[in-house]
Amino acid sequence: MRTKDQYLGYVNRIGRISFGILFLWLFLAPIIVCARYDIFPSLSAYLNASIGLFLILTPIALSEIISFVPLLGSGASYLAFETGNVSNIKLPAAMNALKLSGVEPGTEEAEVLSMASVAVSSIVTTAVVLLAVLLLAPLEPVFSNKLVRIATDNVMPALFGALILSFLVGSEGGSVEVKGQWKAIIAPLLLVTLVNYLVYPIKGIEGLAILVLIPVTLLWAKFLYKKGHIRVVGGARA
Amino acid sequence: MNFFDVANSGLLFALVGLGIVYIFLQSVLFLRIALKRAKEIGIPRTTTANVIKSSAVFSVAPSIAVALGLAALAPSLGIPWPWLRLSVIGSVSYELMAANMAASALGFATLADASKSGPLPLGAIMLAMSTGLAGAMIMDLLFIKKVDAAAAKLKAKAGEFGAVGIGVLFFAVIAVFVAPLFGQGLVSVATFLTSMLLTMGQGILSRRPKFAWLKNFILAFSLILGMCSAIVWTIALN
Repeated sequence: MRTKDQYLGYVNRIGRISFGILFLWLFLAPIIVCARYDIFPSLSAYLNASIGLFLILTPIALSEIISFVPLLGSGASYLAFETGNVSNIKLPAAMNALKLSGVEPGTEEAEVLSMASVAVSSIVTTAVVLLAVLLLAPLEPVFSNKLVRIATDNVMPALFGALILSFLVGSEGGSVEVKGQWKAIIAPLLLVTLVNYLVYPIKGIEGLAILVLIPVTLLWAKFLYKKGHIRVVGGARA
Repeated sequence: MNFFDVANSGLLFALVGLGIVYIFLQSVLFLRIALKRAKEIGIPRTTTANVIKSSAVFSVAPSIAVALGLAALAPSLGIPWPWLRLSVIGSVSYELMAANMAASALGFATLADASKSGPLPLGAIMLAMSTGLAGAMIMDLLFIKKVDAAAAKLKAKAGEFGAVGIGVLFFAVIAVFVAPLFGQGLVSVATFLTSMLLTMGQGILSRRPKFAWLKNFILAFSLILGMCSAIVWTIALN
């Protein structure tokens, strides 16, 4: 059996190779189409169209790596970032899976279970989108149905309404139990509320906002922990 | 030849299909690696089975929202390119913005205008969308391993607080997505609260031995029913 370090080394190797192949392929596919149909843009048009996106998305990606990797672990992160829809599907799926299993993020069990969770989630999303492609014409009335649009427009309130309670109550049944954990959300929630409504709307810059909030949340939690408002007690592993 | 002759061409469908098969096989491979490791480190089979079930059921509803994103993008970009971007690397919230930004940088008022002016803009838009995420992908390749290792070190160094720190990291994500919901109108707020109440109700119900099975599906059911409640709230509040 591999040691933990050997296993992580293996997962990182596989993750990097598969990510590298995908990276090349994402350029190769449009290049082949451009060559076949003779629709290569001029260099200036290409740069003009690309630079803005590059400058916006690169710092957001960095903030997502810093924010999400400690929660997901390496293996799940490679797959989650490759398959996209991280904050609305992959991360909630993995966090819920860890919560149900009584496993805290950052452990080897969490690394393995979140990788399984993200893999299953990716398979499901790929299958659902494939079905949509195959049935795009017959499903058109459903896709354009006003009620279906209302339901899907509200996926984020429904998702975070469902998530918030289960995460605020703290971990149970894991190797440790954290009491009073919910208090740690007060400062970040207050700060985001103030900034969002009084200073600058954070829609579209969520990744950067998370990056700023991480140290705030950790410092606030440390303060509460030192004051005894958050306590760690021993528990039995599920 | 017009824009959609290329955007819906057999060549692009074939290239995109290859990418989808690649990501599907990679997900299956990662799932196998995770399950094998879970067995090696003694994670009970029931735990992995529950992770698979809960992740699969949870992922269906938000994946339908992604499929609707495909339906929204297809009239402007054809079927295969949005299919690829929504199954690989991209996200439903980002892709439309990225395509519009690229079209705007090319001098078109809207994406629809770009699609009316022949196939040339399609090459620039596809290449720009790939280049826009190139920085993000390079960062993923370079930093996932480093950030994961640094987080593990910090957690170990933090001692007992490590469990609290890693547990509250997700609060930063929750705070960033929850606070703005309250400014998005009554339907969003009502949907959020309904989803919370549904989670609470199912949590209480799942404590009964007869409903213990429900525990794995609380997030999925709350999400789906919460999204459905948005329809009821829209009708009731308007």
